Amino acid sequence: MSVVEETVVGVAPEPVADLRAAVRSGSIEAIPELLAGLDKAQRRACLTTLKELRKELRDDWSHTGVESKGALLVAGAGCHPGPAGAAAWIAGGDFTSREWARYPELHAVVEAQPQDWQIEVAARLAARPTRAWGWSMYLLIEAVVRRTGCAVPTGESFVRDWLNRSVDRGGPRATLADRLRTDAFTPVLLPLLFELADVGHTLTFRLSPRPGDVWTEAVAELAAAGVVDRATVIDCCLARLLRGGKPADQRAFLEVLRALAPTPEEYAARARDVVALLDGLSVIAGHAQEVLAELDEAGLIEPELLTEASAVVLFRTEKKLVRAQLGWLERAARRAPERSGPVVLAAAQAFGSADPGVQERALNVVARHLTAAGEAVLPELRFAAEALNPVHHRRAGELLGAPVGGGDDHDPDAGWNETLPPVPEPRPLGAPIASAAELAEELSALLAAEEPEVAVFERVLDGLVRQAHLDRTALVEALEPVRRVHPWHGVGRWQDCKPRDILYVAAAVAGETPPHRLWGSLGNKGHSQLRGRANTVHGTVLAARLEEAAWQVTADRPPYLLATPTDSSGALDAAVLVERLAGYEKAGMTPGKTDLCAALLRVGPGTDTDSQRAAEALGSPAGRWVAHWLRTGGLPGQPSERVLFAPGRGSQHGHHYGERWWEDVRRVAVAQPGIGAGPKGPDGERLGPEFRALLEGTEPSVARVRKVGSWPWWPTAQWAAMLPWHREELAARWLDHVAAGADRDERGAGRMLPVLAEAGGPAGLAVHLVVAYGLGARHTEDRTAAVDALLVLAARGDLDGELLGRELGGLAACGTVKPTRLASALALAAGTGAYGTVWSVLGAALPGLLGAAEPSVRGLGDLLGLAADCARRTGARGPVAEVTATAAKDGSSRVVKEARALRDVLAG
Amino acid sequence: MTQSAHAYAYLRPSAVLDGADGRRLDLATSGGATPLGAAANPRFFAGFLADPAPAAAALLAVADVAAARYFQPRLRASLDPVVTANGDRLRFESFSGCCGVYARLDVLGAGLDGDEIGHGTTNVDVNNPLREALTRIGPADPLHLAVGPDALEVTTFDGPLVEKKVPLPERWLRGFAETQVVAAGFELRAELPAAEAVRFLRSLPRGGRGSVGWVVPAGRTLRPTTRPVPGAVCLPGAERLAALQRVLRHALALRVYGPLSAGESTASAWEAVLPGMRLTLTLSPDASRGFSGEGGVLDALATGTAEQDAELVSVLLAWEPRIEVGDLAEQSGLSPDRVRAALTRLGTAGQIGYDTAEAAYFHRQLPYDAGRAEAANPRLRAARALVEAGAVRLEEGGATAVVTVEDHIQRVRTDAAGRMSCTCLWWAKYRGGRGPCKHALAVGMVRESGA
Repeated sequence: MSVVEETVVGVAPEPVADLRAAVRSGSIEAIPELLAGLDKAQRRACLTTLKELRKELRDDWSHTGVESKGALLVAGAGCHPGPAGAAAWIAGGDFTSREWARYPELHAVVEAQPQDWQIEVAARLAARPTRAWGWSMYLLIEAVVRRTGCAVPTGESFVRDWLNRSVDRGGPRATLADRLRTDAFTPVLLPLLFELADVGHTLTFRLSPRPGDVWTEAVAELAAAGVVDRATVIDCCLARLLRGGKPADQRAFLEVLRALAPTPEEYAARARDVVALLDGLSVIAGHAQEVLAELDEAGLIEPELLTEASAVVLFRTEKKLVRAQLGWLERAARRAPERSGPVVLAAAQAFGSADPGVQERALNVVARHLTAAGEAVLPELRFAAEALNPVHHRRAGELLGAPVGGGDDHDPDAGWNETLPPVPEPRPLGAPIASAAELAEELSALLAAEEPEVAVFERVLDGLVRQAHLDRTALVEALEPVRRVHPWHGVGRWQDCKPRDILYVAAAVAGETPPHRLWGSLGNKGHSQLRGRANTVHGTVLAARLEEAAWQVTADRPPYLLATPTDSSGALDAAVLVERLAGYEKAGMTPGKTDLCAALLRVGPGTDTDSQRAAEALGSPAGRWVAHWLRTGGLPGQPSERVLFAPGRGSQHGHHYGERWWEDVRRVAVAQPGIGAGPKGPDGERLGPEFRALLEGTEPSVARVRKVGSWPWWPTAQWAAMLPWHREELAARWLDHVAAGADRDERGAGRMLPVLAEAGGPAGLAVHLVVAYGLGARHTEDRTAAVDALLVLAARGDLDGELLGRELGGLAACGTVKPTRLASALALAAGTGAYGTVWSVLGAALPGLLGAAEPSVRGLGDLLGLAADCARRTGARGPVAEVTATAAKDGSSRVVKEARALRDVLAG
Repeated sequence: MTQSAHAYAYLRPSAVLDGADGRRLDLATSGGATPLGAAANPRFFAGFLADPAPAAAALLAVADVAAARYFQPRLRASLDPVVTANGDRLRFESFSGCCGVYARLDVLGAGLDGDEIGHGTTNVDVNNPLREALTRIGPADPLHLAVGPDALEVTTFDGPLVEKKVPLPERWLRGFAETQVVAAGFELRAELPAAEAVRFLRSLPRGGRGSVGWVVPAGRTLRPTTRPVPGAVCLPGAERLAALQRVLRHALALRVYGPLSAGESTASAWEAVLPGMRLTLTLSPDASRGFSGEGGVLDALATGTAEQDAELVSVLLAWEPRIEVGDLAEQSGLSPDRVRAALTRLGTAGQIGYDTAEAAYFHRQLPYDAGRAEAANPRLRAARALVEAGAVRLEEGGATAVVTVEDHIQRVRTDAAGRMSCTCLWWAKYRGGRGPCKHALAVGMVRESGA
């Protein structure tokens, strides 16, 4: 600092030193006085010191630091001779910790400067963009502008600040309208308000119940008082609404327009703008529609605008707007019969609407005014009527004098052609991994993926065993880059064993674990690194396989694994298994027990005679077991028993009130007896205990429901790949998980449904129940997955529509599956062309849906409409008692109307 | 992120004017490139639009995309669309601020009714009064369109220019250019008639989490599905198709384009067929990730001859609406493969666009300084650094190579088909979805220079 003082020539150092000391100590009150005592040259001299001080204080955000910065700001504002530099100084980012513009010292210093300087600085400050966070200099700029009477700045940040400060609460004061009336800024800044975005909240913020104390009303009062030109304000408002933007903003500006209350003549002068508003937000379109209808009745606009407006509005989906538009058309035609032609043509645009009720109203309008419209409109009407829903085809045909929609309807005798997705082919796993380098890449990809695929995991596991058999040292070298990035730490005891834990095997290959530890972990004898208390049954099976693989790569070195599937759903071809065992016998090796059990569970039923003969030719104990397994058909499918699970009020002990959510649960679940000890091999072999646990008996219970909710339990494709031919068993155990998607609004419950649909094994009660719960799930993506599963099951011929429909009816009757959700899911399925499938399900569900519930349940109308549509297209016949009963009820609610339509369709 | 400021200078703002013979849509042009060299305010077209209402709605849709940021919608990126006149059609292109949506409106000969259409590329001014005026355009009155000022106005002009200075992030420039390379791999996957298209677009979620969805053609419509089954098209961030809502009323059909192989989420293009026009939206593979950084072009950029080939080919191009690779190969004397590689390279410099409906490239020169894009590509620079440091060692057998990076190694393997894969973490995560990793690039360079 002393260096600076010496180089400043001919200037007494005391004022500079005083100023610096004042700034340092943060005594902002002393600055104006000190500055007043300096002349221009001295101020310029101080500037260098101040700049250095600023650099020093830049990172000091302590309390004293902040005070010093304030003083620095004021001092700098006084010392800068040029307005550009001063504006840059004042707007500095390191001065934003407090609203220094509120401090009278800053104002005093600025006021002491020459007027041109002040005006220039104010203009520059106002032109800066708003900071995302930090105080603005609005108060300073405002003071300068008001004092000097210069031009009001029109930058966006200035206008926004003006707007925001006007609604700052501050005790009793005049209403907003009065304040704005006396404010000199209003005539300049008010029209600029309409350019701002994100002002919806401020514009509708009411300060007090007095009239005029909210911006929307204040604008109207100001326009009426002549402070701003009314025509300009209306134009600005309409332009803003036309431009679009956030819905909150739009609604606020609509309020402003409503408060302005333009007269019909004013609206008529801007009729095109109002017509253009019909395309926007639905509230705004509704307002524009009302205005246009009034103008039309008063005869202030041309009749062609009605046609144009109808074209826009009838395309929209909001029923209220469409109905209002049809009403307007009706009134116009009634008032002036010579307009019937355009009215009828405009109403015909509603024939393409998605809602049959709207189509019916449009048909009514056309019917009433067709004679007045004349013959000339008939060709166009006939063309438009092609878009009608088949319900209305008869009536439209009678009305228009020519049959409608007969062309693309099929011949009812020919039957219905169902469009189902193609049957998914199983994707083959691909060739085994050929080289150690490829294995390293695949392992790296497996470890980097969040949910690795079955194919990748199995190939890598098999590849590890193969490459270890071929050349262990090369394998270790190739795995080095991967193991460097992913070292093996062991699974946490609170985590389930996952495919990622294949690193255990990689670590064993590299010799990290001593062989006796590996031997000790086999079969859960000792402290296994892969098993813990939080393991699920599937995790335990995976742990057993990995432990055995780790032992094998160190000790036995078999040439390959047996359990590697042949396709990516986990299924293993019997011929391939027999071939692999033959290879083992030739090499004189014994397959690992876990490996063999896993392979047996993956082999499907139905072996051809060649494989059977080859299996009989195997001599080893494992070979004999496999032959016996293939001969007897392996594991029998377990029978599913339907159980109603409604635990009700349980014991109060041991559970927090908030955890007893299952007391309200009422589910239809499935119980299975389990395989017990399992099938016995020819020499008394049985499946390992981990595998038996997979297929243990299950029944709905509070314990099971709570376990499904615990966080390591999350079914994945890996789990499904352990039992590729037992989807009924998997579905029975996952039922609570999927049902939670329907009655407890869980997300992701339906993910596994397409996997189950593509798996093997019989599709019994459990599979149909999970699909039923999936169709009624809360979240769209789960319902989409259920629709996928439904269509794939139908394509494979495994779907029992009656069973699914009955279960759906039962679930809807007890309220688990809501008709709205079911309707949207089935409409999605039907939209792809699978009307037959949907009718088979709906037809069987209708008794349950209609029997128990009152007809006022939401969504029932949509379901009945969908059922009628499907029945009509597929030519279904045969009355359903509940439908007839509902149709016989009084009233014209949607449900009764659709029930009547369905009854008529079913009657033929 | 580096930014460069781009300055537009218009003679006057674009506007819709009421004239003696109906209304005029006057679009102001800024400085750009034409076959005769750089021009300050070129004129491309003066004539009538065959269908005013759809054209106005489609132009608004393009302007909407230019002003939109679909991911982290806090900052507004207001950029002026680019207009290209290819002699038989006009194209208006824009790129969203989040680099995730590319919009292009092709106004074909059938949609225009007037004198000849010029050649060249430049920016057009889009301002708020113009937007409001465009929403007011109804179907009834004829609309005269003028792109660029006429000669008289240019010579007699002496007022203040309308100048805008806009910062353009380099990533945005690269993304704008790289969209073409991604789109070149698309095929037509589905075509929906008008009613089904309306129903499908209305069933999409409006707001949202921007999750990736898949749709599969089923009958005459598209069915949403949860997994990439064979034949499915990826629809990443469905709320980004909101820009099509404006033209929905006039749409005659909806066409969907996407790459054939689908495992991971990929980009896709959605085209609304309008009378005499086509509006195409190309979406990036994920709503939170924009187009640049795809790395699909790195192979083409890394090879040595592509640079000279690209220069040769660029001289032969003259704003054709369809670039025929065969003709170019004849004219330049290069093989079709080298011509395609050169076109890819020109694409990254912003000189080539791809029209999915015609399945051909078209020539246009983006009025942005994107020439440095390829030199600035970080992966390419890292690969060159590795080669220069001598970190690449080819192993015996030729199939594998070892790259030493600091204290450890990564192994790059070439399979029988010539595809390279690596053990690094980046490759493990993306597996080729974003182009080769820097190790693979370095190995490729070493192999080529050694071979």
